[in-house]
Amino acid sequence: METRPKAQSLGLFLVRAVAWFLALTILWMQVSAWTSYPAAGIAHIALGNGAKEWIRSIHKEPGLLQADTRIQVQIPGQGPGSPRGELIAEVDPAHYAYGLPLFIALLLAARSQRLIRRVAGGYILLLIPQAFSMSAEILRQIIMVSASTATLGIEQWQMESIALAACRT
Amino acid sequence: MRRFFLTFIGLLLLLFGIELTESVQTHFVLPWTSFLAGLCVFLVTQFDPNAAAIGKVLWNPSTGFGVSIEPGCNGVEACIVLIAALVAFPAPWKHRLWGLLIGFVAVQGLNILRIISLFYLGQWNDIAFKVAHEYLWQGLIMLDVLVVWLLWVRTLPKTNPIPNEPAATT
Repeated sequence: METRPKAQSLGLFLVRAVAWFLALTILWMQVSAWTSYPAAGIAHIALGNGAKEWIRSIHKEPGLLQADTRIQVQIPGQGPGSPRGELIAEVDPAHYAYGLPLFIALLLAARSQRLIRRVAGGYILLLIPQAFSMSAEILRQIIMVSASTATLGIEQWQMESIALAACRT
Repeated sequence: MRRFFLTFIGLLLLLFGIELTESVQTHFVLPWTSFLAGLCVFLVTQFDPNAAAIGKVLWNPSTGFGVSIEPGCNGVEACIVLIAALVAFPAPWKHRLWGLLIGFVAVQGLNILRIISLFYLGQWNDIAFKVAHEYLWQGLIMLDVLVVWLLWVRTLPKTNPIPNEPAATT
């Protein structure tokens, strides 16, 4: 039989949440490259299927998601007539995953029951917005270097939607 | 609960979209960011004669280190999350407005502390600055929003419980 947790003051909850968040963030930083790897995997699948026209291949390793694109860019330091290179867009997946230690800190501060199950469920749920953020950032890097919507083959509103998604995640 | 969650998400998308429009950026976000930068400079120079400011950059001429207060560092996003939570939760508008006013002060107050702490952390240690800037303060500001919202929910007047419908008789 489950019992309801005792009522606790909000102040105590806040102190616990901050303490757990600080401690867990330091711990999480040691493993963040690995805990964010599944989110990078989801972003890999999403970009590989959704942006084939722009992305040639995707490489990922713990701490890095890198897209070799078909987008041609001017090589820095060379003139307009010189050979052009192709953009490599990359993100650090851990940069988008700091919500995990915060989530676990809140569960611990609230003395949540069935902690392991909730941590696991929250971790899986958080992968989706993290993957979305990474994908949006890769796409943002692509549209930032592209000359026009015509080059990319998209409408203006689509370009602005990508910029909006990347700015807000 | 589901209604609250869906309204909250919908409002977040709407408000973030509005925030990015050119007119809101021009008439609110950029002026607010400049004002915030000026306020931080004013506060820091009250106790640190080494601090100086050029526009929205708070810097120390002796070390050469400076922090630029950019859109995104101005607490507007955190306030948007708070507004969405206040509006999505069922409450009288008068309480919502009070919550918004006090919440805005609480979020912006912590954000000023964040900016000033980053200014000094950056002069002390690059790694500490990066960790605090990218991870710790992001979470702490969101925690601040959550606590303000929880406090606000506690102050709401209790509504009369809906009486149970009588059981059907046969």
